[in-house]
Amino acid sequence: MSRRAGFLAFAAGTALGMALGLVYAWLIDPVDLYNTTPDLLRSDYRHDWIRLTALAYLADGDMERVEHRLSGLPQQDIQEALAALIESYAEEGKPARLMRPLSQLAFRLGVRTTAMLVYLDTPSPPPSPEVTPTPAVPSPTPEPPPTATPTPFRSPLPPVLPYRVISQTQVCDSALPRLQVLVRAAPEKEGEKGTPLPGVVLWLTWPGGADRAVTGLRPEIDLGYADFTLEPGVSYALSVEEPAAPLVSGLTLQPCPKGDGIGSWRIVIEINPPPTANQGEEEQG
Amino acid sequence: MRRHLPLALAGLAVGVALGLLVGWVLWPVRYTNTAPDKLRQDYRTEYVLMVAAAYQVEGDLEAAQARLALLDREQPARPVVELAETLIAEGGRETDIRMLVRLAEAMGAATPPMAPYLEEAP
Repeated sequence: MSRRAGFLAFAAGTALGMALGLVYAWLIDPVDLYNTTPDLLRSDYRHDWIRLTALAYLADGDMERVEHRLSGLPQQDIQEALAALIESYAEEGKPARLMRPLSQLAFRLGVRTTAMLVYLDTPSPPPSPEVTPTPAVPSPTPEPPPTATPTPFRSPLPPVLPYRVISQTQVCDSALPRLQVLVRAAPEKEGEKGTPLPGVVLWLTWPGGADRAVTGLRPEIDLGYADFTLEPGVSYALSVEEPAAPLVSGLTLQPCPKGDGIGSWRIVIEINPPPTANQGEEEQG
Repeated sequence: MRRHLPLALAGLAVGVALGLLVGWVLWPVRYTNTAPDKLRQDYRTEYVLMVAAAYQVEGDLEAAQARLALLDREQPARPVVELAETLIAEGGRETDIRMLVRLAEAMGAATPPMAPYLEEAP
């Protein structure tokens, strides 16, 4: 009896002591209040930490620092914060010199958004002024107004650009509306057919999205062929290599003239060899 | 009853020891909603560097000040100045120093050691 009472007293003391110890350790003097790590930050601060990491990458380009700064953070948080940053930058119209490295960083970290797609795997802009779709020097003779019928189509771009649209025709023999693009090298002699060019990167962009294709992946059709699926009611722009300067814009699906469904578009693009110095002088003179 | 008091006190001591062991070592409180001012020193350094870099990219002084106020509400520029002077003294990365100095200057907190890194007016 006495032994049992002693055991009970010891157990009661232990229970009371443990409760007191836990109250002290968890509530009165808890550990880890200071010296925390970024993964313990409140959600909004954690997202800002990730955003700052990306902005710092834009400033110093140091990938090792990025990995160190993001280590231990949940992948989902990283992807959400970077996707939000890219979307906000795209909406604000931030320049490509920021969008490109930011998109590449986000891509390496597993982010996939439509806004970043156009900046991936594109070459850096040349140091010379950017090429715009409008001619830099006004032509002495006014250009003819664009015709309502799409065929044949001549690009309004100045001839100094390496790419130009040779023709744009509606094709009504395809079940699925597509944009079929044929890329050719400019022939040496006028009237000859140019050589199909595989490996040319094409961009199709539309409000809120972009798609990329490379010619030559369907050699059974043509070595310079690539195609895109088109949706009705969407206005598309087609570019070569760099999505910033579209060759064709305002491209929409149209009903076939004979009323047999929606027609596809076939666009032939010719790529000129880069002009030599002599040619440039002749053009200027 | 009085006979068992020593046993109860011994149990209490053992219980307290066990409670502290569990509360501090085995299952400590884990804070999940902390603010940047609770970050470990090396992460605070990273935070200040990143704020300076973000200011260089975005040029948003208000945002930079708001972020730095999370570290030091009274003197937001102090962490920038301290880190810049430390890196200058220790020969840290020049790009980091320049970003910090630029931010310190924008906040009106440039100090004499930063003078060599201040951009000359055109």
